[in-house]
Amino acid sequence: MILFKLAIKSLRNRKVSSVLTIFSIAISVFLLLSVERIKRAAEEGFTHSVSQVDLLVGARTGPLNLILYTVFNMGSASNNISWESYQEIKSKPEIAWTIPYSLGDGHKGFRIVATDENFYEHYRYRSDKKVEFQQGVPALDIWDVVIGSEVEKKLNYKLGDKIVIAHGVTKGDGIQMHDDKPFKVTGILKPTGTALDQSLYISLYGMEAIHIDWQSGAAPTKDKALSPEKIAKENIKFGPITSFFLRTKSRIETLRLQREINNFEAEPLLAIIPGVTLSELWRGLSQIAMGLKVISLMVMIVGLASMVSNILSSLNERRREMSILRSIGAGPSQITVLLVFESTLLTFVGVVLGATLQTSSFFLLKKWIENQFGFFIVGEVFTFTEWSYLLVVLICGSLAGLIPAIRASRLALKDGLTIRV
Amino acid sequence: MILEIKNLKFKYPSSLRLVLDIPQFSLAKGEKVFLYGPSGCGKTTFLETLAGVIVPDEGEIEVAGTQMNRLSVTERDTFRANHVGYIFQSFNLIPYLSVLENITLPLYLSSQKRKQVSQAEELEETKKLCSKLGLTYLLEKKVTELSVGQQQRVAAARAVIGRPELIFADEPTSSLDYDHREKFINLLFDVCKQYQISVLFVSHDKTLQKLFDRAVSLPEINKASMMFQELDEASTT
Repeated sequence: MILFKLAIKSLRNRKVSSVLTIFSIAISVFLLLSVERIKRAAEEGFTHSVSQVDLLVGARTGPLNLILYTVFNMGSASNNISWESYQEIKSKPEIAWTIPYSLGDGHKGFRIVATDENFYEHYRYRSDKKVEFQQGVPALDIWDVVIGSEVEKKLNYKLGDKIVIAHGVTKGDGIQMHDDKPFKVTGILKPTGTALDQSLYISLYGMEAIHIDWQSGAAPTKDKALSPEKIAKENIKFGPITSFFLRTKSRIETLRLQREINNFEAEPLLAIIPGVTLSELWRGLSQIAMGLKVISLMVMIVGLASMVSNILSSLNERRREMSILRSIGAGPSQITVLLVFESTLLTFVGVVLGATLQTSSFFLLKKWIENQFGFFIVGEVFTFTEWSYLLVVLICGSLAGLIPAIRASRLALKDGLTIRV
Repeated sequence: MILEIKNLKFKYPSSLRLVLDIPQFSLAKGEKVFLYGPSGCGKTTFLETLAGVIVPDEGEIEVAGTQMNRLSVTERDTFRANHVGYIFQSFNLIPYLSVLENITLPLYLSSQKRKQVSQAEELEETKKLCSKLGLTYLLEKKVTELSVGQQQRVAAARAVIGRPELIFADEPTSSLDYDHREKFINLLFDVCKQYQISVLFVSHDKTLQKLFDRAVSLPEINKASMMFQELDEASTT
């Protein structure tokens, strides 16, 4: 007991250096946990770009390609799904709902997604997050458009603004504009931290309507163009769509249905399980994950090194103190207990402080980071990885006390009896 | 006898020459002995041998009836904590403890000393010692606020608490001025007399020897330093 009392009194006597040591430990723990948390958030944000969807169906292509152009607006679709095939699959009894995606047009570098009401109702990301509105309502009428949060931020559109869609491009400026048929902003989505933020959403009607007077893939001449007022929902005939998400009534059906779609008679289709492909893709991007891992590892090493050197130097200053204790009758084991207890205490307080700092600051700054960077801090606060990091830090900190302890018990008595100042 | 040395021989592993070669030296119970010698004659090595920091190559050291060289390192530590008190030249005290805490510290580190002074008696005993050493009103003070002389008296109180059989004092007065030296030694003797504690006082300052029961010159009992003495004498004549 006397040893613990001594350790605590001694630490209090060296308030400044103790506090600095604790602080440096806390900072490295803070950094370590932050990097880890951000890494996990990035991974989850990516792999959970779309959830609660059993299958993603598109024209036959590679699974990666399908997910890249459907979810991330990278690359382009090589082929479409005919409206008839879509209807046939959609009407299968085992299917709960589908979300159709018709892609291909864009607006000032952002892509246009033509979809239907199911998108607003059933689309989920990050396991159970719904598509929500900052303002306005879904784009269900022909000339309605809903914009993602990034689009709103970049282009500063307000509700009621008119938007002209560019034909055939989803990146950069278009050459051919659908300027005879402007859309009206009816809704602005909340930020999601996924690719959803970077798109504009119109109805399938809208997509058909802007192309209704086109003939064999070319824009109509002025005299043949139909004015928007003359187009009504009733006389729109749906054409092919790019891809669609589907949800089965019972998960057990998924694999059977996937096989069935992949062997679809009428046209070559591909059905993939998005979660699986997204995880594969993230692993494919393992360079990023590795980079983050290396950073967090380096942070940990630097943090531990500074912590150990801090504890070492503070203990070195106290050689004299150790000698006195030794000469009064403290044995080497008692000196060791004293020093290890001290370093453990410092490390423990530092670790607790660092962890508290990390959780509370992430908690406080969460909203700000989401709004400012569109980066979502998601997932568990503490996983096994975090706990094991903290444990390693704690063990290293405690062991750091052993080094001077061994030296002190070897030298201290001789010092105590012979040091002349 | 509280301390008995026979045929003590020691040399550093790196050298061939003996540093200590002491055929016989002893200290009776309650006896106060002044051990002097010029610097470099092996005083420190001798004290380290007695303390068990250095293990002699040959010979026997018996403290309070126990053969020091037959004990293991840990046993020697415990034995030293239980039976011996130390006073050093300076910087003796733990800076962040109060006077009271410094003095009573050995009681927490030695079972034998604790037996002599129980926790209930601790304060009483410390007060008694302090009144003898002129530290009465300083008990709760931080040791860093004390003068060097006061600090040295606190160190003395710490050395005698728990009634060890023997105290080693290594130049404890060298940071004090002459008047204070005598006063300090007399106070130390006072408390030692009460508890029948033997004192081995090591110093190069011969003027203090009149205060002791007996004075011993280390070069005289240490045959290993004869050569130096002869050299010294040759150079002075």
